[in-house]
Amino acid sequence: MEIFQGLLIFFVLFIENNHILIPLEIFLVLLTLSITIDDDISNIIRNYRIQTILLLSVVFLTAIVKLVSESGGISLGTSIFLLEIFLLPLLLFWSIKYLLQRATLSQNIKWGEGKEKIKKGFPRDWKSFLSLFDFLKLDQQEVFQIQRIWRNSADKSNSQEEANGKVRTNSMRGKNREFLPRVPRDLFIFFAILLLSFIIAFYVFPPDGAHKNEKLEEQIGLAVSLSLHLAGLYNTVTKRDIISQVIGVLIMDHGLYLAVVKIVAVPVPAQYFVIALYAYTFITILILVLMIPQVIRSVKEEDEKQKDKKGQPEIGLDLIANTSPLAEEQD
Amino acid sequence: MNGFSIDEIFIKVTLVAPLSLGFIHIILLGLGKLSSTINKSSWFNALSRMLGYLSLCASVGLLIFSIERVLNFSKPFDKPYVLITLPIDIHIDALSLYFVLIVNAISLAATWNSIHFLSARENNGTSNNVFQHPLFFHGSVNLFHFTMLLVPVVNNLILLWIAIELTTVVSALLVGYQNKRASWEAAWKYIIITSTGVIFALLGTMFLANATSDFITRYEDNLSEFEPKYGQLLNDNSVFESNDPGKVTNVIMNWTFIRDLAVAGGFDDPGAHRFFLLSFLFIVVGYGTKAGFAPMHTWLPDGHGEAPAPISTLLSGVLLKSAFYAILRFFTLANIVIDPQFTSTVLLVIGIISLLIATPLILKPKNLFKRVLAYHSLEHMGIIAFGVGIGGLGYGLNHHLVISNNFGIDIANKNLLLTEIYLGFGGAIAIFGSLFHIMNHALTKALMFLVFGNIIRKYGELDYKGVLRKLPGLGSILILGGLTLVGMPPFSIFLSEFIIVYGGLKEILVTQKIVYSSLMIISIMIFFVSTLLIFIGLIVHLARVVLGKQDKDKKYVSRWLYRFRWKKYRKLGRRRAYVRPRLNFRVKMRKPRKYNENIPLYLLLLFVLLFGFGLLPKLSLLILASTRIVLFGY
Repeated sequence: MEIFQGLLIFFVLFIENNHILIPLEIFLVLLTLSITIDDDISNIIRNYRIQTILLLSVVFLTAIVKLVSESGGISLGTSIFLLEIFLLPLLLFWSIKYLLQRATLSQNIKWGEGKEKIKKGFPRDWKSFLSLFDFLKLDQQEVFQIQRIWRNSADKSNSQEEANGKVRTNSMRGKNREFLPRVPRDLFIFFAILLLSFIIAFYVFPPDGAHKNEKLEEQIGLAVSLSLHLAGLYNTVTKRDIISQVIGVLIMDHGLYLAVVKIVAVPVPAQYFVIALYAYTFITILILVLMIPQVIRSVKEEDEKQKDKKGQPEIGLDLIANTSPLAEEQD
Repeated sequence: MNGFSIDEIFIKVTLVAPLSLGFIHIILLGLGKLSSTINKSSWFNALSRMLGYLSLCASVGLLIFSIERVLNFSKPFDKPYVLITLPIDIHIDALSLYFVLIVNAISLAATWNSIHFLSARENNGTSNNVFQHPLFFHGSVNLFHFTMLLVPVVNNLILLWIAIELTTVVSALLVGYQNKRASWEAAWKYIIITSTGVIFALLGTMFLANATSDFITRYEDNLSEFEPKYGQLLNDNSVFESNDPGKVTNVIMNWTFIRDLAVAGGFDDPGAHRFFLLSFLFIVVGYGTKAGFAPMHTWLPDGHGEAPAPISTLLSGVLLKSAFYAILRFFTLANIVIDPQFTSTVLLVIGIISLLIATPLILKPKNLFKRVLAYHSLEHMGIIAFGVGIGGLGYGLNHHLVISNNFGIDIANKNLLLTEIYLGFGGAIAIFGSLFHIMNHALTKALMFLVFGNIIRKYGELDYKGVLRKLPGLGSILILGGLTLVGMPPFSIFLSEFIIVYGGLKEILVTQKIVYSSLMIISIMIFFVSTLLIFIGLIVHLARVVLGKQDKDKKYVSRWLYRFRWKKYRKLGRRRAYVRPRLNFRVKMRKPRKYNENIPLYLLLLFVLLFGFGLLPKLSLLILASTRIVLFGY
């Protein structure tokens, strides 16, 4: 036990003295930038999953460093706190792609298949037990359909923008007005967000001559978490497809997750903030599972009704409904 | 009663009743879906209708209980509870009780209307979608009721955030209840915007948590210096665990503890000031999104416009106020620690911006009426923020006049507020008016959405012009409600707006700082111009709805067009005495009138008129005590 404590202290000192966490946090910011400027939903989801694992490492290491520095070691109560911190990003990493695929497909899960299997008899081994949940899996055809929808959404959101090499701004500013090309615009706003985050972080933790190095980790940590937060908000507001908007919300969640361990004392009250974040993530998952299929289904039903009326297919909006928070209010 | 006080019973009944009813509905729905008896079994449908009436009875009971507590309120109530392992500290003071009363009153009206709303939908056919079943609707309304009751009674600021976030979850599915594309898009917009906004509030709460944790660290590092001053406070609040004195409890995030610590001077250092300042800004942005302040209001018109009438009632009547309650709690803390002039200016500016943005939106002639009502929510929330802002600003600038005039009053004296009002200091008056306005707006908005919902239901479509001719009773209520909404005397909203402006003007007269007095004068001028323009705008919309002409080939026959035949009455009795005259255009039969359908409307109208003449004494004292809490924290 003492050897373990000794190793832990050595590990914590190594992390603190070499500022191991700072490059990891910078990489988090770079991943957010790639998500912001990218339109391909598959790439966005992949980058988000990488960011989740990176975030997991950063928050876990930060929590260990803080617990050892402030409490002198890890006890049973603080281990539970570490487990809570560890679990949420891991669950997101594992489940987010499947949930987004299910939401895109917007078809009902075939619960009947599961019921039929149970009626045949309760499974006696692990393989049979796991096979009960096969109805949740997506088959190859469904995966191809999802990939096609994601590719189409990326094309549609760019088609009007890239046809003339110009961008249609959001509807509040007028549809035919030229602005900046999309990628430079996103880069410009992203760096403005980064600058604002650093200004706020240096305002909250002003550089103090005596404790400059101690403050550096807090300043950069807060700046990174604020930039994730604001960049996530930017993604939610400007992206037109539903999946990217949800990813934006989840990136905001990441920013907050980082802020909890960086600026709040551990384990109390950080533990309660982690519970709050679990509630927030639960809400986001609920959106995915319950609402997105309803939105997509209602859009498709209305498109089909209009198609029947007019005899011509309307532009199937699929994932691009009029859901932008800045969309023109309809009368 | 086995050692439980009446306050404990009140808390338990208030929270447990809607929560358990909500779960019963949802569980029954789940069982019905699993056993495939949904919509197929008549006893299942009867059971779901019966549960709806049970929810109504529960709402009536909760309102009566709240009124009893208001009549017998004497001092704040604090009690720690534990749910599994999660500590939930309850704190009920005058401000909490006031909001609990409003939530229960509006929920009763909404639940009553829900029963008729759902029976009308049932007559139009049933859906197999679980989210369109009456059990889901009633269950969600009960859970929504529970979450909104949780907001004013929790002491812990993190739990407050969780409660507000839960209101978003439960209400989003209700916004999409109509199962149309527009409804689901409105629900999507609502949940995305409010969730992203509310997460700013969590960040604000985190900054506050950092400030309190900082204090605990400084306390532990400088025990000899800090213990004489703060030791008793920390012991009384059980900040440190009894088993492990080095470990803090969740109490450090309780509003009452932070308030007591702030009053004792625990946050008197520049670092804490910075955290409180940032915290307040993030809180205003975060909870302001939920409260519908501009420019974060974009979810309001879609959310309120597409939701069913009972849900729009709850969203506009109480949900916005619950979010503003959270802002008020942080406003009080920030006022104690940092400059009240700053916090009040922020609220004043937000209120004015909301008014300025609401005005052209209401004046737009082609807006659907329900969207116009939603824009009125934006306007009135702006007025509420304006009232607190101008009152807080005036109080912050001028309250030293009370002290310096040496009326022999102790600052912590509870009668200070009464004395201020007696002496005519406007800051407190304006905040009083603002709190009064919260209740008036909730009642008026509930009235408008419910009456309009009834009208839509009777018409069965959106072409609802000529309401006064076709449905004279409902048309009259709509007119009176509309006049209330724009602040016509002798209705309640006029009185609360008058109190706000009166308080603001009083402060302007005594304010010596040119910058602030100019800001207040400009704000009041904007207020007058906006309310005048909004008055004109709503009159135009009302005229279109109540007096306009409908398309000729779709007309509804009102009862006035039925002829009464005396001879047939003598021969056949009343049933056959009325006959529909031959008309050239197609008519659509109205469904039989349900006489109890409009009772909540009459009651709401009665209170809206009653409060226009003044407040009942106990209610007045409750709002007075709430004003004191907003200003001082006690």
